[in-house]
Amino acid sequence: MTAITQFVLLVLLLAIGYAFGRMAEKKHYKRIINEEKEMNVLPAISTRLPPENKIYEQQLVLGSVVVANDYFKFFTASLKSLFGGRLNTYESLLDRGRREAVLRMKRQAQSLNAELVFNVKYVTTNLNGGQKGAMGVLEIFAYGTALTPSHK
Amino acid sequence: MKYQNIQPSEGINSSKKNPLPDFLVLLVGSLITIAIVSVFLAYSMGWLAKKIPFEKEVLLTESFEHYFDEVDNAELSTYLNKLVDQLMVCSELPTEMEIKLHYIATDQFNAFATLGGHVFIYKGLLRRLKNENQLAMVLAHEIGHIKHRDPLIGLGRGAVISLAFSMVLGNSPNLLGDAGLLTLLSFSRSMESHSDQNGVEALMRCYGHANGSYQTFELFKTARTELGATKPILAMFETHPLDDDRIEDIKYFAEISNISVAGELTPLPEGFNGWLK
Repeated sequence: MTAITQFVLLVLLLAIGYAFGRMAEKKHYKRIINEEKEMNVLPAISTRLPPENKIYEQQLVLGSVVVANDYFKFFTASLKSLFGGRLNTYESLLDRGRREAVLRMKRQAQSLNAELVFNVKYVTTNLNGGQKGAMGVLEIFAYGTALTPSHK
Repeated sequence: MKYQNIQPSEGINSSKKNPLPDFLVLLVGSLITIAIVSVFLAYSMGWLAKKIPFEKEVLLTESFEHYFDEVDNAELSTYLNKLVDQLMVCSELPTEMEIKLHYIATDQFNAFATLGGHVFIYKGLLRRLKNENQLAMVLAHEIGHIKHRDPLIGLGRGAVISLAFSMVLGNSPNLLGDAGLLTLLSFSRSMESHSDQNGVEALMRCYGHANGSYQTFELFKTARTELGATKPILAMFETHPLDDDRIEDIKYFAEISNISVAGELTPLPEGFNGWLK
């Protein structure tokens, strides 16, 4: 492939990555924030100790998000890694992923009529198999114990 | 105890800032860095190439040698090889270097030198030469490139540039492949001028004068005009100094080096044009 085709391809990939990535990110943030406001009635907290005032059914709930990087984010991050510094483009990707994972976990808890999710933890996994230069595909996984008031 | 989730404020864990300005600063910054590094490396190639033994350069092309079809043309190759042997001596080529001349029976008006001492000359060029001195000028010019290690420098520069590109484009470099082992390596204008000077000096040592040296480039000029429409076959010469400047430069160099550009011309051997088949 000649340098010119490579260059055109690069610019195209960057433009697509930027345009779609940016659009999707804005839309996603808007939706996350709205849903979070709704879901705040069902708190998810990281304490390991369940409340002791009531008897609860306990159930594992999970929220998993698999998200791909776009070329613009990848490219910007690889340039940034030459100089060091804050990787803004990855931060927003992971931020969205974590928040979406918690929302999915909460939705599962909601379907169990839970009133609290405690002991919430996060796991992030890179799915590209450690291939050098491959674009990132990440799984962000949140899990916790949903507490549903017991009627027994 | 009351448990609650409060909507967090935005912009703490991630920034909502448009990443484009940041990206542009990074891009320009890295391009400048890469440009500075490549220019430095490309220039140091001239120094580096002379440290690489010629035999290592030969190893680079060894595996390609079976691609060079030898034309079964005994009279022509005997004559050309004899001339090259003389010119190697007249060019004061270091003894460890060896020129391997290849004749290509196509109508391209071209000759070029590449890695490992391989020099290629096309029928289209040979057919137009008026005398042996002009042929010697072409060959001594190419020998000059080999002597100055220009193909190796060109390869090194090509590799540096393709490395720089791959850094920006983010794909794995195929360094020597992209630089092109068998393709025409482009030489800089100063490399061309130095090789022209080698040609003039070699003619002086072999023939006692440099008549025929600049006339060779007058042939190029004529050929270029004739082939005006089909210029690409002359692409090789586009990096060469402009013909007129080049002719002037050769005359000037001959003058300051006290080399006469007049003298008796040696004709091409009888039946030379018949050999070109």
